[in-house]
Amino acid sequence: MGLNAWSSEPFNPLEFTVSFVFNNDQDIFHIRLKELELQAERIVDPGLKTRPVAIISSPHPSGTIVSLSPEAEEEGLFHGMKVSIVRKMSHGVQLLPYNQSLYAKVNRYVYQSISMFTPIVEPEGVDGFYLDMSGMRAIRGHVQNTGLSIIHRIQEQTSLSGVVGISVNKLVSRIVTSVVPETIHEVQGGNEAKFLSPLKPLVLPTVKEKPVHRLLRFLWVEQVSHIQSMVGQPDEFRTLFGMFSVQLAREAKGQDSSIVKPPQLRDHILEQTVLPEDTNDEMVLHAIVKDLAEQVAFKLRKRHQLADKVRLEIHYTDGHQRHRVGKIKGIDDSSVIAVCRRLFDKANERRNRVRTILIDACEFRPYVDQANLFMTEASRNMAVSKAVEKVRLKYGVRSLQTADVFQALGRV
Amino acid sequence: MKFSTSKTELQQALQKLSKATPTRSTLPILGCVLIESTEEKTTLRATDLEITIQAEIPVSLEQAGATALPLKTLLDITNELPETRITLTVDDKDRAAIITDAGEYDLMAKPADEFPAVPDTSGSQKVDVPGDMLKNIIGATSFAVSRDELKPALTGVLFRISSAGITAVSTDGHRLVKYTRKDFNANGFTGDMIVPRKFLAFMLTQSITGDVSLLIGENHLTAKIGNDMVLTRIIDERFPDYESVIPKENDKTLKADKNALLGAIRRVSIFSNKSTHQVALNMEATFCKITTEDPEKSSKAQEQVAAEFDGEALTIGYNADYLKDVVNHVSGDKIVVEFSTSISAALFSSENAEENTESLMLLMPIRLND
Repeated sequence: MGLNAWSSEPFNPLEFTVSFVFNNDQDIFHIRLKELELQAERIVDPGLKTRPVAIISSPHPSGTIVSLSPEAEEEGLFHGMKVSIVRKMSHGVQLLPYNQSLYAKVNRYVYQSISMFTPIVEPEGVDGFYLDMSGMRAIRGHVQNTGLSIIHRIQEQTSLSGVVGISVNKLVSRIVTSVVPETIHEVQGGNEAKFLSPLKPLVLPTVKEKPVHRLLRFLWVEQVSHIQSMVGQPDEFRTLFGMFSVQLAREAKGQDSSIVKPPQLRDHILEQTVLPEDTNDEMVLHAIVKDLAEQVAFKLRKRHQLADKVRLEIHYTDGHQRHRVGKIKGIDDSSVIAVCRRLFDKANERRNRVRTILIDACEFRPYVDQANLFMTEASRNMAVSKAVEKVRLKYGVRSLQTADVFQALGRV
Repeated sequence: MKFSTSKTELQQALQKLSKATPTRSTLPILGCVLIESTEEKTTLRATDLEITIQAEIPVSLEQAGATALPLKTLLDITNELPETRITLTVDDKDRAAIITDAGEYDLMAKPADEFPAVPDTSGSQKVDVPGDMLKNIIGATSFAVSRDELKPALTGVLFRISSAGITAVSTDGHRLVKYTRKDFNANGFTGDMIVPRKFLAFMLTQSITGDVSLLIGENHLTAKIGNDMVLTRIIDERFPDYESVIPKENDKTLKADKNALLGAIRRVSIFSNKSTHQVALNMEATFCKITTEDPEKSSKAQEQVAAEFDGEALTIGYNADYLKDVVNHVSGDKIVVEFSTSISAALFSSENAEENTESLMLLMPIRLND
């Protein structure tokens, strides 16, 4: 952390928000494939097209409905309803388990289809995509025509139907697709606040924070327009909403400065090994995990960051995939290896041979190198990691390896 | 067993004893208070097996006996009662009754022999310590005790008693406090013991007048305050060699007004990163600038305090929470901090040391990224 760059002016976040200049020339599209899970199941099995169907998160009684057909809705079912209640209420509805790999495949296919319109595409969950179409008017003409072309393209390529929301930022575009039933709807630049004003406050992400939600319910705030009028009194607004005040004020005005970030630009550390020869030899796999973990640790040390989320994925030769998620609390090699090894042992519950192991670290936060009075195991491990690092920086990453990694990499 | 006592006496004793009751335990008996009534005295005792507290209450005794009653229930009902006499009876089938003017409350007691016995403290050596001195020592050192149960030796304060006085040392690995009182008379006793944090925290909350008798045994320490008794186990671990980490050649000295420096650190640290609490001290000949920056929240702060700095300009990073603790515990108005480099321990002390007292605090820095 650099601590020397100072300005003479005191920093005020609310003033900062007010004076922020938003670019009204941007065209941000949000594509939402409504009830994607249901649409995907009906493509795979056309026999489901006219039947009442509900996709459930788990067949367990505590599982809930994730997606459902209009026919099922007519029977009184709704999103989030518990499986135990569904089973009691309706015997005619076909309950389908959540098919993660099918929806992921469909998502990837749609992603490829719409990537031809712009290289700046950001997937949002399994059924949404942001597209940055800024500057495309000169090439593709009116944005609404472009939106329709995208929807037609998805329809042609995948038989899936979707809706498009267009505005100058991601926030408003996403809200458009969640509240407007038409296939395409555009909010012109400068009209964001007007568009949001009649909507319920829950459309704003910050309102989903418990303290904000409770306070708004207590104040009988039923429309975004009420929040917009409260923003006019910044001191009172700040007193009421505290740390949420800046973000809530921006959202109520329809302001959002976040950019459309393609997956390849997401801030993460990704290390992957594709085994030249598929194997289920645990010694080899452990060595590969160790090698990957050391590389992740090296990058974390360079960034002076810890990762609040680390995901270890195992891809088997039969196409199945298992993963586990954890947290990296120390950036010396030993700590990272221990976390990754534990995740691997938990995830590797199949006997099949492994083709690929992948470690993805993200959600970074600053690492503090707090000096210790006494030599501890952690400080000793850190000293060893730094010593090894010096050699690797000079002679290359593979210049110094432990025997098991050397042997495993030699064998595979 | 049957006796009556005043509500206030019972309430005060139970409040003391509640500090030794575990919130969750696999032994249900530990949630009880042992009441023992004899012709001589009536005592109440509670334990969590680490610390045992015993209090004596004045009673009008009708029948001697012993029983164990749920402490929380007894304390709750006592708290709710107005000032009145309380009569407690327990029959031979462990049915207890609390009889007051307001009403009668029945509950089941547990046999007294299920309650853990007091550890054997025979052979202990007696040392008398003035109450205010003991509280000063605990107050000066207990803040730096570690909470990490994986480092048991650091979860208590080391007391080193010798003919030269008493030295108390605590550390959590990032900071260290050494507090010596030369005016302490050990009556020939010499030795070391690591006293757990819980015992020290309890002693700090007690109003002590006069001397406290410490009975120092092989594995236990007992403190007698008036008619009350507190017993704790002694941590049977080797305390790290603290003398070897106290720097001897810190050649850069900062002198500043303690309250001004502490106030500035407190204000600036509000804007520091919530996970790192990182602040930096930038020292020049005539001032000390405290700065912080949190890129995640786009917040930063700086404040300048008048100071005398003897040495080349130095920037050093600290965890603001540790720094506030250490500066706050320096006695007097003027603080003296001795530095060596930006990655080595700094020594914090008072410019005007109290008579017969030596206080030294060490704080390890945070390595600042370039």
